[in-house]
Amino acid sequence: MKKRMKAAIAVFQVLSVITGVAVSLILNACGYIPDDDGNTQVYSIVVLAMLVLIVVIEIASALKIHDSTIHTVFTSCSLLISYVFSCDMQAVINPEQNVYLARGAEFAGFAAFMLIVLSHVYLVNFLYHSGISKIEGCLIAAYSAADCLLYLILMPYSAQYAAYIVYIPVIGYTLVKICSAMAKKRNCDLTGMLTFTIMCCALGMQTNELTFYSGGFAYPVYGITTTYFLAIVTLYAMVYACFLLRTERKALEASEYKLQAEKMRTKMLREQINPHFIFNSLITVKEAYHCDTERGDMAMNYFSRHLRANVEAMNTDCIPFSEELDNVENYIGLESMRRAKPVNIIYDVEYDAFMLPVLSLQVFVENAVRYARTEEKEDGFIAISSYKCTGGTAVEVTDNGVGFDVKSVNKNSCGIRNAMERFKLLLNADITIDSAKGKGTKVKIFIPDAGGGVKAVVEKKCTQQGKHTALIHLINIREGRGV
Amino acid sequence: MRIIIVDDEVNALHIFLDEIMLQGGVEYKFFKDDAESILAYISDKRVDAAFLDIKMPNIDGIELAEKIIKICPDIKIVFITGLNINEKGLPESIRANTLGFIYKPYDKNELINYLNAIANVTLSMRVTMFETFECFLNDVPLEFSSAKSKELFALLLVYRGKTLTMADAISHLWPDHDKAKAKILYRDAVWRLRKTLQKADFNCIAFSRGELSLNNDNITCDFWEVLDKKTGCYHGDFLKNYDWSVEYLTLLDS
Repeated sequence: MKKRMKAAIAVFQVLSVITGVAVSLILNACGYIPDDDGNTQVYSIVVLAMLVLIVVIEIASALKIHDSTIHTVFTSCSLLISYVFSCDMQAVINPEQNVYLARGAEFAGFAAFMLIVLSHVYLVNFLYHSGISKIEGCLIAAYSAADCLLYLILMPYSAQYAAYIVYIPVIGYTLVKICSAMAKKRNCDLTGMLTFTIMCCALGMQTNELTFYSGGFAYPVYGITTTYFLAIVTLYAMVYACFLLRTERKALEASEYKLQAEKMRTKMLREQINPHFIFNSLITVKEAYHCDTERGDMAMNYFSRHLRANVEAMNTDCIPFSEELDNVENYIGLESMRRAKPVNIIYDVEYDAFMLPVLSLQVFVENAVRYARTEEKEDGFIAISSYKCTGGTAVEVTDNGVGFDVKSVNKNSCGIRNAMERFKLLLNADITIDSAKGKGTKVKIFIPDAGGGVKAVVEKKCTQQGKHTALIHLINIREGRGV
Repeated sequence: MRIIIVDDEVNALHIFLDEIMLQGGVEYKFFKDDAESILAYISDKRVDAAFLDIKMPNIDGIELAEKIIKICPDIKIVFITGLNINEKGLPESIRANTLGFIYKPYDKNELINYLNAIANVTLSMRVTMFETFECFLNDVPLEFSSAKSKELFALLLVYRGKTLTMADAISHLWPDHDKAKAKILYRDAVWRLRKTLQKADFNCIAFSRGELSLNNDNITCDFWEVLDKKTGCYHGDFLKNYDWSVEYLTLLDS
């Protein structure tokens, strides 16, 4: 989203809140009494209808697209409930001003307001890790419940505003958190903006209502809440329009990603299945059969499995870690057969429930087998370690061979560069290579838990396409084009 | 047990297959991809299982499987394939009959595993600990991929179902190594043992974080028999290659 648009929306938000409060103050000062010709009521009902429409569309899209839009359902439902219990709707539902009904509606309105705040806090926290811990979340919820109780207690004394004021620190705190999360993550600006807007409007709306309920205004100022709601609905539309544009861009990016992943795979295969390796392996197999058939079978199995892994890699991006270790074992098995001394490989597997790019680990192992010259040492080894660490999984390929100059690797080894790129692209993984001449090499791969990359992007693209259709429907309805 | 093998170019493997099939007492018949004669043979004779190639010039293996199942509903199917395919790629109608997949070129152990599964042979293990330590799965010696994983398995057998912790294993197998290195070697041995048993389709160990325990079912062991006083005498040294076996000798003496 462009900076200018962001700024415009922010200004619009602030203005709508200020205007709402100012209008209500001025009307009150002038002693404005609502007319009875029903204009306000019509106005309220139209807005109510629009809100119901939004809720229906949101629920429909959530049912179709699963959990990705649950939060918008929640938000729009909260808005609807909040509106039903607002003083605008009171004029429609409760024209006789029944006290109990009015009080009940008032409290329900406040509770709905809290739901809006809470849902946004949790949503932003869940989506963008704004840093609100579980305990903090529970505390906020408990605080909200307690504040609701306080509101109920204060109601008979017309001092509800105190409960509202007590709640303001929470709102302020969460707004700060949301803003900082938005600032940190570039890709959440739209949802963040929507969240921020709705929070702001809900805030202004609630101020207006409470001032009236607490006796701050002499008369109920009908129409103000509706103004806020119109602002929210307009913003919804604006944000969604931006969302659509972004979806298009993301879809494009996803297909580019896919293309890139495929390109890399092809490149990798061209290197892996080179005639040199195949013929050397065939020689190993032949030699083994000349030795005895058992040994021949073994060599043949290693070679055929290795070849199959390579062929299958044409259609696969990521495979389970244990399968990749099988690939490594086939390679090592074959390699050991053609050497005087078998390759000493150590599988230091502490954790194996994760995926990684096919034949990626093998590239690093192959490199160690070829260049580390561990067989020259008495206790030479190549070790593969995998373990869970904070925020992800770590895989290490370590050897105590001759080591090399790390700077030269980027220029020379295509295989390694390719594997590193695939790790980065598919799993958003970080790779560090440490090597010291004479001491050995350590390749450390860190795979973050919520790995972005192609898979996530492609999945996102699918859900967004579903959302996309729902949105087009929404816009068509708003613009009177029908569905 | 009678099986059929359908592959358009399997003739070259006669000798290889003969050896395996004769060992298991299996009667088998080759077919090229000629559906009519296959179906005629099946309706004529009772066939326990069919090994079908998937990609053949004249007929598709999956379609053939559907036809075969119609004639013989309880037949077991094993697909032979050059490339990777999994069960999700199969139609619902043949999934219940499908035992699995064999990849070309036929791996002997895979083939034997399937033959055992078709004959409903329950795998059982026989262990000898005196003189030499060997494990036999249905009389075929089990090959371990490293000496230490074999030793670890011996220790588990001596523990006989009791939970073996990592610390215990290390104090037995790697008493002289420093702790960090011993842990790495322990995990290596565990991983290899796990893979070996997985390949043999005899999953008798429960692997959990830092702990192992053996499931004694379907295992017989001469050491256990002596302990249970089923046999009074034994010959040869007990686990002679393993230093830690000394402490268990006292058990035998009593």
